[in-house]
Amino acid sequence: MGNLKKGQVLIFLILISVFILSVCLSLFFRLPNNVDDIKIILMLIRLPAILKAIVAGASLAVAGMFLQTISKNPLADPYLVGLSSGAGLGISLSILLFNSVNYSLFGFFGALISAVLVIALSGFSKFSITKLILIGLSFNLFVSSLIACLILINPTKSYAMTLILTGGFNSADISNRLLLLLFVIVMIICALFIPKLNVLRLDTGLAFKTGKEADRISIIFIILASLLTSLSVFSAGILGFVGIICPVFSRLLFGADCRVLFFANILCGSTLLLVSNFLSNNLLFPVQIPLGVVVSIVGVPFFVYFLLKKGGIFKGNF
Amino acid sequence: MMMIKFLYRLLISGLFCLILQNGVLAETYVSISPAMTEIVYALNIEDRLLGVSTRCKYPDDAKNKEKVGDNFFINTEKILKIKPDYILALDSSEFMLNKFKRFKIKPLCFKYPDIESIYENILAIGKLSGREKRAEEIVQFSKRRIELARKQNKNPKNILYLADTMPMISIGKGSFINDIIEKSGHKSVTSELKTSYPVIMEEYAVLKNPDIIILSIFADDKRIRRLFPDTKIIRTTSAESDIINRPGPRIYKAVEFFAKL
Repeated sequence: MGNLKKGQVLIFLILISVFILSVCLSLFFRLPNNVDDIKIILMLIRLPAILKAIVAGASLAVAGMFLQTISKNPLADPYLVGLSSGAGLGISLSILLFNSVNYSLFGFFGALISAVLVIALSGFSKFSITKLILIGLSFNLFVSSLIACLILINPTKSYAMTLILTGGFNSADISNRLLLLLFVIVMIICALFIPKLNVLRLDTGLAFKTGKEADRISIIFIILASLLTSLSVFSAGILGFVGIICPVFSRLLFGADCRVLFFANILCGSTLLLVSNFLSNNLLFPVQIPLGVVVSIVGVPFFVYFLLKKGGIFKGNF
Repeated sequence: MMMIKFLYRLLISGLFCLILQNGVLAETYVSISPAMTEIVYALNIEDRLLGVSTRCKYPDDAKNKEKVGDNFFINTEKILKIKPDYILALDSSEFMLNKFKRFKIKPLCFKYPDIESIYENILAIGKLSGREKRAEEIVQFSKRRIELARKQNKNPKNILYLADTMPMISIGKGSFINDIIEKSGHKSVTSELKTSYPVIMEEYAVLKNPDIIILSIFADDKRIRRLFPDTKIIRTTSAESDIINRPGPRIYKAVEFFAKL
């Protein structure tokens, strides 16, 4: 953190305090008086939701950062590799065909399988990022149509399916310990690889003796991003938008050093989801607004404001 | 000779008119909602029902009718081929039925926010098909049964009805299931919510402290049992679910189901 400016340290501190404030609010706002109720509400509803919000937000933001840095394109998002539709297909299949409760697990594996498939296909003759993006895009379109068909032939569940596919924290009943364990492991691996990501920011021809080395590092980060995104699907379903704006937002605030950005993204992503989750639960209490809707409504104005104010950075290369 | 020829022609055209008129009188229907199919069968006009949806399985005879799709996906060509006078549907399908007006097939989309409106629907179809008396009988019978069920219910309870659990989808004031629960003498804990099928927060459900939780057949009960360890949880069977979720002539059975809890 030695090379951070004073202002940036201040922003970091503000972000951390917003994060802590939103955790406290999510935990203790509008708690009932009855002790039994408090126990059930805190342990079974609020704590798992907070854990999922942090995991999903941090994973999506970091995965977005990886992919944006590798592709040198601020529009890249974690679902680039066909993950969202893969996860969606997993979820739809589990609910509609197998009638399974563990649909987030199906989503997790759906996401992983689709990532493996798309990465493998894009490396078929010679790996390139452009090929990866195009194959991911076509895969997304193809699988989305399959999901639409699945929903159409099961009209009785279409309402619930639409809600589940837009993402949310109270949907899946999953093992929180497993989620936390996976999250910590993947995050440690990411932290170990982060310094290499800084090298990828440079022009490939300058940084590496051969293109192959650059490709190898890119693939490692794409796999890490897929793992992270699958984790987020596991905890919160398919949430768009977080993975695009958080990386861009943190880049606007903290510059381009990936080591700093890694932590900034973890903070930004989880805070955004915590605040949105709090609002989605409390704005129209007791009716819940779908999380994805709140994320966009909260995130977009904020994001556009900062983009207009500090967007000069985007004049040159990303 | 001329006279006989004239009389003969008169007779033929008279007969022809009679056949034609009978054909016009007996309007034909296609139903794309199980509830509407049940109403048609209850009114004993099933011979004029030329097509049903794939989900229309009650009464058994409905399974033999021509299938024209379900409430989201209807086979336009098949309906045009059958060419009924009316399409009977619930108002949620209205958006995709308007196109049939051009072909002189009139879509009738019925609203069903409460039991009274279901009665109105039965009477309306009765009037349309010239079976006012039968429709009135059905309504009166249903009213008597509901009144009886309500009187027998001596122990009013707070009921939480969940159409789904992940996410938690309940029923609000706009849903006829809310009216069913109230008519049965119980109280739905989510009746203060205005929308028909609100997505509610789990905390809210826990705080409402229901005596009984009714889960629809689609809902999963594992998580609910953890959230409500001491509450009686009943999962409806497929047949019960059909009765509760259909705004049709068997609505009194739904009230009786709740009254017996």
